[in-house]
Amino acid sequence: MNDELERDLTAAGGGLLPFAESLRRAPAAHAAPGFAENVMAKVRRRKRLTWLRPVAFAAAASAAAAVALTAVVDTSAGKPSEEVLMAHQRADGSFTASSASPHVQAFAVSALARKGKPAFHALQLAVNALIRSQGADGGWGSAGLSARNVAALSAANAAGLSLARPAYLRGLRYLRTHGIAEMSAADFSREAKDALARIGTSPDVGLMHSAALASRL
Amino acid sequence: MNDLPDATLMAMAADGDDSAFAEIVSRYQDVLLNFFMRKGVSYADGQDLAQKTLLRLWRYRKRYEPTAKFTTFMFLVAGQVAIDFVRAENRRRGLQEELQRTAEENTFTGRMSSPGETTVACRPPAPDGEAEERVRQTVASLPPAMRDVVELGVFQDLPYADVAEILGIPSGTVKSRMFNALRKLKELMDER
Repeated sequence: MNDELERDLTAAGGGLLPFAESLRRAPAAHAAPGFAENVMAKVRRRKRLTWLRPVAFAAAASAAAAVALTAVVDTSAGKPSEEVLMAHQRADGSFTASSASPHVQAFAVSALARKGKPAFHALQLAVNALIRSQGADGGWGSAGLSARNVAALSAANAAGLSLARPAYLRGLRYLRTHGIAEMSAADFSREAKDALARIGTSPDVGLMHSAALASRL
Repeated sequence: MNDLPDATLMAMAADGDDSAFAEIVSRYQDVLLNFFMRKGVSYADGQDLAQKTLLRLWRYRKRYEPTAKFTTFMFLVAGQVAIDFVRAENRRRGLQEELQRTAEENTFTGRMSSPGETTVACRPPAPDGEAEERVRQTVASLPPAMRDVVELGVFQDLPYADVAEILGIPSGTVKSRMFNALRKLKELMDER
């Protein structure tokens, strides 16, 4: 125990010093085996993500797309960023024309929700786009897509976007009535990582940035 | 690597050396787990929060100034993680209540969850002994302002000045709060 506290507790009397010492000697819990390895796997994954330069994705793209992506590199410092994502948001609030990844909107909403105030308008537009595609029953057709979209609406609601709340509650009700489990933040991030791996060298900046940003816990 | 000071390891981590950061993880994983569990969270949530803190430390590794004590920086970050957790829990609880209310008003309530049921996954019990659990629960039952000074001053053995910096209160307040907290805690422990 540090001298300062020991001196004061001795002076205070009442058995406080031996009591404080007994507290410190109390047995402690230990992290589960594999905890440190799991943390370091995430750290290494994040390191790789920061090297994920949009220009690398441009390699397999057409010459015109490559020029556009090189311009992106200049403004994004080579990292997946919400600013670049916002720059690629379409007027209707969506982020990609690609039908290859119907989950991109959920990833983008989750990424923008974490950005806070600077992305609030973009988040509003993105959530509106997500709500427009929500069915009357509160779902989006498939179990996986519904679970991801509900998780994204939950993030938008938590970020203070009140318009996301009724849609989130409708979505949650859909999940419950269909026996679909709510998606945890860790599962959501894992899904985004998988999507990122599938996207590979896509020149679609909105798609790549949203998945890369959402894959960070 | 094992005998390097925390500040050196963090400087190496800031240069991208993840094996240095692995040493920080190994040094502080149990410290952080117990820090959160003494706030009253389960073993599983304690691990989640310890992981979040470590990942945030990795993200902030370049912001850490070696002139400051690493543990002061770490507990500041851990305190932010704890606040985020409490806010998220409150929001989740509010939403659950609202959903429950709307479900009760709805005609198709038959397939909704029953009152009191939550979506939180079952947590495994903490793999530790009775004495540890008793200390942890008693500390967790203290008012937060008292609990924090005991956590940092007694369990983490930080000097008053560091506790004051982390909690954003004057050193004199740390000192007086510490006596009151320990007296209260002693009473509670004697009762149990």
